[in-house]
Amino acid sequence: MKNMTCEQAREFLAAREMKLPFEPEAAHACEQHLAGCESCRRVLLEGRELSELLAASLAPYAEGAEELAERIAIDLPARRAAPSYWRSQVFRFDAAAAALLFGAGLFVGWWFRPAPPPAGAPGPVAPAATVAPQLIGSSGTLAHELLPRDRVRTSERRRFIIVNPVAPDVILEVDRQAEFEDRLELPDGAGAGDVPVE
Amino acid sequence: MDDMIHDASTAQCPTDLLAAARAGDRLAMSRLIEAELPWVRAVVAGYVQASENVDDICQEVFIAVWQSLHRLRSPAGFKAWIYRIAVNKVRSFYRRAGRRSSVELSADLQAGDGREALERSSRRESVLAALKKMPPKYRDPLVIHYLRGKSCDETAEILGLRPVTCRIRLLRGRSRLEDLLRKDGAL
Ligand SMILES: [Zn+2]
Repeated sequence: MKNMTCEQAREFLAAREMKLPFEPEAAHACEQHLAGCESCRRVLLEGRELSELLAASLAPYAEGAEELAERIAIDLPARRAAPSYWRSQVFRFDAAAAALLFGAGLFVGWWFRPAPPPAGAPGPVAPAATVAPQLIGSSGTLAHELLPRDRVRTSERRRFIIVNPVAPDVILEVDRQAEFEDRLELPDGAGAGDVPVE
Repeated sequence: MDDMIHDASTAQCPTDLLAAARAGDRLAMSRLIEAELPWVRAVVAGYVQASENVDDICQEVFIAVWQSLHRLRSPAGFKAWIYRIAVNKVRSFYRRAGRRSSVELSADLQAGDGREALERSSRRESVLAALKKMPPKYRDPLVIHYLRGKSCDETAEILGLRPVTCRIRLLRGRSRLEDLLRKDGAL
């Protein structure tokens, strides 16, 4: 790499400040550029200042971590008993059944929904309004785990249905993956697939 | 009790600590919290305006971690898992309280006296205020990167990003922060 532009040199300098990986030849090219470019030399100094300032500003978050960690650990509540493998499988089956039933219920509800009021008249329109979307509690289980993938993967028409196995009447219904993740209460419903869940 | 202490003090490797904490060892859990707390605190603080709420939310985060540790299948995903819990705890905090962010600078950074110390602390406050103004997708990588010893791979791992994406966000985040600080006269 030769004849680094100012833009490239500045990106390189920022990357080096943050210890991001870079190609060794870029370092050489940057040195050459710096030798002939005063404004980039200034950027180099300012970049160091920024790094120091940022590190100093964040440092207080690391201070006292030991005491706070200890306090938090002491105050940890008694742990809930972990479900055994078989119990969790049965649990899942129950929850899957609940989810399927609920899905069927929604469909039936939608099918037999009341005719929409004439234009201009106020009134409920969306079938989903019959069940207010509600955030699942901390024991929620993802539809992902409960239902075959093709029933969960969303399209414009399909919806995510999240059922709390502990209280299957509390159900979250959302349209899009993003909304689903936004409204999901972690950790028990942790993540759409990529957070390990037993 | 003696056994517990012995276990945790010999279990230096994070994976061992994790296994011990999973088995209910509070001392091991406290070590894990201590290791992860700084960046979790900084991430949470980025979303929360009133600094007095930060440690409470962190406590909720680690209670949730403790309660659900048995669900974590792979130790490699531990930090990424904590990150997601943290972000969700912030969300539920605001939802519960029906709060909206109000600008209030952290008071825990007032240190020392004299004009120089004051100036230094006000520059740091400017940095924290600027960070809060940044979108989380740029702020979180920056904060984690600086508090986790600047390992690009680890930052990416915590955020569940590919290292390439993480690199881009770090560079953009840094340049945004720089712009904000310049505008503010702090740089
Ligand atoms: Zn230049």
